Amino acid sequence: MSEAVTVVEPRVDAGPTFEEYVAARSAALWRSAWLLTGDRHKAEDLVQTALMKCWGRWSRIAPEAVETYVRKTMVTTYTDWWRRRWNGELPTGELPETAAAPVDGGIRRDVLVALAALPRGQRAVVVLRFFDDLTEAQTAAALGISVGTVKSQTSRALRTLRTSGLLEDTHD
Amino acid sequence: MTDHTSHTTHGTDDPQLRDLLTAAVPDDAPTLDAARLARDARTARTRRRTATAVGGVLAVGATVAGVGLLGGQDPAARDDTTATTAPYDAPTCPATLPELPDAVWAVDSLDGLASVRICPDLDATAGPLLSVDEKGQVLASMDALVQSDRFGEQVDVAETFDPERCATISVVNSRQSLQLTFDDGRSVLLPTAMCSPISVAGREIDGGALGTAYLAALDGQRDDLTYSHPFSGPLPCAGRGSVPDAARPGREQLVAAVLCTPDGEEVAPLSDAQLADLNDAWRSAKEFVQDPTADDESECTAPEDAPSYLVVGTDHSDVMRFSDTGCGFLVWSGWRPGDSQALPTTLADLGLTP
Repeated sequence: MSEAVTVVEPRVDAGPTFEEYVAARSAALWRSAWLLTGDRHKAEDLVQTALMKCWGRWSRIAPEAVETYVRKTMVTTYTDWWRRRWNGELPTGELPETAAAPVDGGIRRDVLVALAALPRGQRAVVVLRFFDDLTEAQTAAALGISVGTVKSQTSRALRTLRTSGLLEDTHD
Repeated sequence: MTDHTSHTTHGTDDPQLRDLLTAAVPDDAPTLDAARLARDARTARTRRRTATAVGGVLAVGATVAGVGLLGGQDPAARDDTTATTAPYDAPTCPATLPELPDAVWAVDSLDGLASVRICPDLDATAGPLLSVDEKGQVLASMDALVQSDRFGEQVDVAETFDPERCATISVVNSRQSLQLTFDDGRSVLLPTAMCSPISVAGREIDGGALGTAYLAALDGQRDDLTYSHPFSGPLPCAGRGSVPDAARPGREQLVAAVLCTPDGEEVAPLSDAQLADLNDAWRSAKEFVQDPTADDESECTAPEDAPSYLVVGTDHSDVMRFSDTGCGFLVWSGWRPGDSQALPTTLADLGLTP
């Protein structure tokens, strides 16, 4: 009879296996997802959902594009997720619990409140550019938008964050 | 891991924002089980390939979620870490709105736009006027657009003013306006009367289209931000004038309703049970398109007499009207031009007798 199917086909080009990538990068992805969603459990759900989507295509993703591909999937899932939430569908998984009191409640709350005031697209740009340290070109690739749009989204987001008081006003 | 040399600088905001984001994120990220993820992904793929009811699974989930929403316990709203009151903190409308000839008809730029709010003309009604207190309640409970970029995006795609079309239409004399507030404290009131040419950043937009652009932007904000407001406004059967809302079936919760006669007299408020049934119907609303080929003998032609109706309040302080068509459903006219929604219930189903 047939042998058990391997989880992931061996990569000829020595890129990370799915398991290797999850072990190495899931924590970093979760931190980005936390900034996007503002909730531990939603962040975990988002990362898991994105990784599961990528699993089936893993062998076809170029090694140098893995990180971009996974982040793009995560951001796309996030955007689609929040839109469908208000149409009566809910993401699978456990409902979020109320966040536990943070170690540094002031900064954490201030950041989350400020990010919550940004449109989804600007929030994603801020997280990718300023937390994940992606370049404008990498951010554009991850979000499927132009570099020009990344620039304008960044500019608008920073203006909003300054107005919110999270960032000190600068004299550029 | 981090290559700081790859950054495009943004002045002094780079390290400040980066430090804040880094400080805010919890250190204890959960450990994901890669093998379990792969197993779950394989199971999901098998399910997709063999089942035809993935949409049915989601629909069941939606139904379960709907039941959970009956008591106003929206799971999405429990996420208090992203809840905001900003839409209610924006500057309020002035007590007096300008008459159309005296209004400002142009704004040079939307740069620095902080918030946008619709200022309804609460005196534009054939019925009894609201009291001063009631007007204050209505205005204080309305949410404003604080994701101001959305307004610019909608204005960019709004219809330009068409003088030929408007040559045959009289300008609707309404004082309803959009209040634009800017970062530097300036505010501008722009009319939203149909067939009023309003110049926005050099582009002439029909006033009616400008109002629709605002509602579309507010609709997007309500998808994006978590907020609601305890409904405290009046629910008059008549006399409230036209106050635009950005409600969408199933998103906003219906929190109060009254039954009204065709003459605009209040009969009675709905009970909790009736409101729960109405919420079910609201969540199940579907687009209503009148069939122009319908047989005149059909029982579903428009009744000669004006129907009884419900005036309904939401958790975003929208006030809507649901009319009983006599055809087995209630009808609500949405904010998008031409949008009507049919709610699968009737006044009789709800146990209401006008």
